Amino acid sequence: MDSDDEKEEYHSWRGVPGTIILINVYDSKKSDSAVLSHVSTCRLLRHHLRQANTHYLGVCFYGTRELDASNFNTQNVLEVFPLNLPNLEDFKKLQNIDLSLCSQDKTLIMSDALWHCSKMFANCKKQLVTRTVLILTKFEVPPIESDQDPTFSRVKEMVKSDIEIKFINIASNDYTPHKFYKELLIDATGNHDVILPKPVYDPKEIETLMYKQSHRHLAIAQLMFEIGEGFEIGIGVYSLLKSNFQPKKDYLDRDTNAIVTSVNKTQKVSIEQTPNMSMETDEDETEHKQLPLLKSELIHYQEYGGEKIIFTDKEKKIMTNPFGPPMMKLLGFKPASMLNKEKWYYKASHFLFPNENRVEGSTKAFKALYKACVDTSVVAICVLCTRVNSRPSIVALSPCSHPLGLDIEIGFDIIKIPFMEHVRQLSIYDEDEENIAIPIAHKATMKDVINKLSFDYKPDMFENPVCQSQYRAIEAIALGDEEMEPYIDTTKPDPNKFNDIKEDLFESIFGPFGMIAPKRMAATKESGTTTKRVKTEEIDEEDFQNRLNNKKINTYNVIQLKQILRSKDIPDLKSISVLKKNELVDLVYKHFV
Amino acid sequence: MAPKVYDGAIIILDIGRNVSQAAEKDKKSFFTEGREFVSRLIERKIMSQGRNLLGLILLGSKKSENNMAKQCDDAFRHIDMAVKLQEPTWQMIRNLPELPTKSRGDWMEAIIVAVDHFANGISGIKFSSKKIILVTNFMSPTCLEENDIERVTNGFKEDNFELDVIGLDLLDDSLKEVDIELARRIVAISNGATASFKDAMRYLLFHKKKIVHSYPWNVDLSIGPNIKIPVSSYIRLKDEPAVKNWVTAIKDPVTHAASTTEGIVKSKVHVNTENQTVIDSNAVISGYHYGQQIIPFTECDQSFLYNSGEKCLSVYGFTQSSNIGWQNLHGDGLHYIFARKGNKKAQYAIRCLVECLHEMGLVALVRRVYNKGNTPKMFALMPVIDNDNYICLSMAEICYSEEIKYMTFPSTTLKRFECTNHEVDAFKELIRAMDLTKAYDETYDDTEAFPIAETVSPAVQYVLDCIAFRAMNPDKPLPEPRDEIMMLFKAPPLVAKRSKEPLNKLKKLFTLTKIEKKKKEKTEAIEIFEHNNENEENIKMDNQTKEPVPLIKLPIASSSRITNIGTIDPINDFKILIDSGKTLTDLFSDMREAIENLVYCNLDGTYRKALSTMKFLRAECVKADPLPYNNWIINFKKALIARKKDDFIDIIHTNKLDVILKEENELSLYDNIDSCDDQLYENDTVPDCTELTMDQEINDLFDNM
Repeated sequence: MDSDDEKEEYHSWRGVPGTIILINVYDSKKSDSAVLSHVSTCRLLRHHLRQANTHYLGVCFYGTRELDASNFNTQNVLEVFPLNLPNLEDFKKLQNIDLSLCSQDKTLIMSDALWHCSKMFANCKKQLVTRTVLILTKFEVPPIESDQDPTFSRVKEMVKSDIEIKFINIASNDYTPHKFYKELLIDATGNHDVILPKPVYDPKEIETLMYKQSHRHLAIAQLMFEIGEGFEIGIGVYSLLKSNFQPKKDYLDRDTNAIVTSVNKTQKVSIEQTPNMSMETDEDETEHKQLPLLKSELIHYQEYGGEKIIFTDKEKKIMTNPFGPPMMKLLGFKPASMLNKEKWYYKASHFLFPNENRVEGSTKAFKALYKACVDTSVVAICVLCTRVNSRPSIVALSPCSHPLGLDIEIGFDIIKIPFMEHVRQLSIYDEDEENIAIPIAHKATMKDVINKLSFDYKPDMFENPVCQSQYRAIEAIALGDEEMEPYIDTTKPDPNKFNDIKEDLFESIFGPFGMIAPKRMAATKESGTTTKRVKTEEIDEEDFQNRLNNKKINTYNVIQLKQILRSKDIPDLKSISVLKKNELVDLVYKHFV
Repeated sequence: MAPKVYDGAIIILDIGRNVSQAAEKDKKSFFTEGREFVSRLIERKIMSQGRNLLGLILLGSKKSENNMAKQCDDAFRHIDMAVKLQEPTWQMIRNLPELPTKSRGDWMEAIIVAVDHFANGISGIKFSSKKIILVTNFMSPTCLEENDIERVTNGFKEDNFELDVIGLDLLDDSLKEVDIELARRIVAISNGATASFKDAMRYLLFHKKKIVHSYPWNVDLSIGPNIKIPVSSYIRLKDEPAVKNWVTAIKDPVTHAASTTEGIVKSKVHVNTENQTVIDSNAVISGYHYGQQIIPFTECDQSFLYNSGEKCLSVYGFTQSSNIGWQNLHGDGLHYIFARKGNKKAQYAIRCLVECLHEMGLVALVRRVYNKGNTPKMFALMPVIDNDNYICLSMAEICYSEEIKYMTFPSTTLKRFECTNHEVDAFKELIRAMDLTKAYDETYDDTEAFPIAETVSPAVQYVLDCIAFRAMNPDKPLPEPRDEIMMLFKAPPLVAKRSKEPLNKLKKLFTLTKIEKKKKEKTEAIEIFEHNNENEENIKMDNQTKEPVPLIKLPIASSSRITNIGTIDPINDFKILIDSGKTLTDLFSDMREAIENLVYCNLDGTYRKALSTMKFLRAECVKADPLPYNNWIINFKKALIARKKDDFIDIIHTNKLDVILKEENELSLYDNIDSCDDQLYENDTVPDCTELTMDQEINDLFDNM
């Protein structure tokens, strides 16, 4: 399992994150917290399996009473599986645990569970970049008195050795949490203002919460933001969306299922000619030798002005960014109204958040800047270069709160502003130059349609149907299930939504729109091909009847003939594209006379 | 085939005696400036890769090579048609004369030569524009008769010629010479332009990238099952590299140009990782990771997969525009959607839709299938009522829930992060001072700095600069970015000046303390290594004295039960086991494993324990047998490189933990450290790169486009 150099998306960070999920099963008969935790953990594990990510997970129950076969002692901690890459066996094991059969401990002891977690981290052979313990519990029953002090000291110890301890409050109703947990949380976070998390009970919500808590908090870049000379704050640039979420794929040998790698070889071929025979060389005497290619032998060129302009491999790399190391610098401010997404969006935005680890006091200055921008409705214009090899761009910082519905109080959207080179001029015809005012009645019809179809958008409401079906298909094979888990296509609206639309009224005002979209082949080009355009023009009905009556259908060209044939709903008219002209003419006579 | 349509331009550059003298001392002569302008112009034309044809006439040349001179004996002297209309080349720049001549030519005659060349010198080409760019100071007056001039002027109008005069700004009223008056008239009639060298060079300051035309994607915008409006979508904004399609070749060792006798062959083979055999690509199937497992996925399993159906653009519904933030938008580029060309009904409907959405503050969400069977994507259609007379819908992709990372950030509402109104006001002052819409004073056409979509990209400009530079200077190293490009990284001077005062205020208000990065560097590791014995004791002492709580019971087995070497105290484990009768050979692999684990995990961040264990093991091996240690250390270093732990290799070196040398133990195979190092680093060959999972996905991405 030497996956340290795996082709992970973030290879500059050594190690992988590790999370131990600690589930309180004490008193599970009375409250459903443990069951909820169990279900949610299964879901989380499935999520990790699907993504096949390198996150290490371990699951433990505490508040239980297990007989340890090795030393005949009872233990109040049950290690369901150790800190490991999520795998199928563990998943099945976890799924098959029946909590109602779990024996209860007489009293709740927490310190042993925490100690067990430290042990699990210590035993993990893998280098971990983060170590998190995620405790799923209801904050109602504290451990017995004698265990409380040891629990506190364990928590302190763990925090000291960089183990993060997080809590999820699992309960179906509001209740008064025990003060022990508040104190525990203060110790865990080192923060006296800390607020206990709100209770949650929906497994999906818990899964998301667990996922969030266990997620790596990786920035695209940690930079200094130069607001002015000698005035810099620490910031992190983040991407809130990932671009690659397809299941991880490998090639396999069809027969043996052995993993197959595909290797791209780049080699030099020299065409050597045998000396003294250059006059009569033929194919046989030309040798094709494949030799390894040295990087220093490579050149890259572009053709401009009839010449090959040559660069070495190194020069080509330098050319991508000669502007120095990553940086972020303020250029000034502009009214926020100048920047509308419908006109200037061209690339996914990033997200800006202060970073206290570089400069203390950054958050405060960041907040003041945020407030000032909101109050004056401006965006900050900056130049940003996130990586050594990335092209610098001019960005606008637009204050935002709760992006994507996430629990993020403040931050800035980093909006990439298009350069001149990004814009394509569209030579769109000016046919509709007459600036006709649209009658209110027409607008009312349109608005009626719009209103009937209006809905409240949530960022997570659409699932990629291809990806989801793929996950389910893989899962079905992996778990040996006969049937695939059913799946709802979220990209298609409920067809009943359209029942109330007054389609006839719409059609009578705006329609009919004519033929269906032609294939791209026949798409009319902007310039030049005027002849083609004539061919796809609509057939004049009267003219057609005349020609039909005078038996002059053959004066139409093939395209027009096909168009005529397609205009009438003729059954079995699939193969007209392969017919010859006279056959088409015959068909027209057959179907129209 | 229809003839290609070109933009034609003929430059008339005056190189005669009349332009040879500088107006003032220490200033460039008109000739020098004119030559600079013309070479810049040709360069820009080459780089824009447009449909350009360019010709060059040298006025005041010694030669009189032109078509008109052949026809008339006495006229059209000293006019040299140096380059006939053709696609611009670097050679045109190289061939520009270095020095002015002593002759004089007639500028009016040169124009006639140019017009004649457009009319008779070239056939089979259609011009979308015909420009004559005259670069002269008019110090050599024309000798043409009034009625001849009249004919030229009329011809300009009829044949849609355009005369641009560069070098003198004819709009400057102080220029009163007869010839200038005349030129001014022709420029006005032909809708031409005129500019001083300074203005013209400013216009040519930046490259224009090759123009890309957008092709329409035609589809029906459907609302429900029955309403289908024919529309076309065009790419409006797209991020593209400065230059595409780099060609790779092999350098010819003699000419340094692309080799003609050697080529590059790229081949892709599938290799079974278990037995390293090459496998036929037909025998390869896909397997998907499910946790640790790889699930084989054959073609017949594909039938389970989602079928996205026909190409479509169907409305899912309408939602408040404010629901779609910048963060929801995903994917590359922005498209504009217009009603299908020529379909009046569709145009009316789309226009009505755009206006209604605009009035209601709504956007449409649509499901798009680009081509039959492609992955469906969700897009937002937003109304655009543009100053450029575009009334249309713009289309940008929105994210799927799988794409959301669900990030968490530390809370910002804590007390210590609260800021006062006073502090916020200080930033407001800065905002007022640094208003980029008033970045320049009134002498500029536009007071706005960094206008959206009108600012050039420094990266693109630099790449184009490099190409132009290399073309003219094939042997020189690439230049640094020019000042004009670097200006794009700076606040405009006026803004910078205005910001000084508010910035000083901010500096006083906020205390920002830089935190030095914790150094986990080798020097520290060595230091700790050297003092580790004392340190360890100190730590132990600390724990015992300061910690009232009982120590955590660490899973350390007592020495009596030691059966193998752990990572907690490997040296001690080793000693105990040796005492119990084991040999170095027995224990070597355990020790090795312990060290590797310690290094790979590096829990303390300083490799302290690993280093002390290595030092111990090495000492043992020097005493007994160097071979196992040497074999292992070489492999270990390779493993370290593979794991990108190169830093530890340096630490090995500095701590003298490398191979055991002959001088230390006779049995060693190594005389010095270097003798084993050359196997370590590979040559600089282009690596055989294993195709990443990404590649397939990128391919899919393109398929799905």
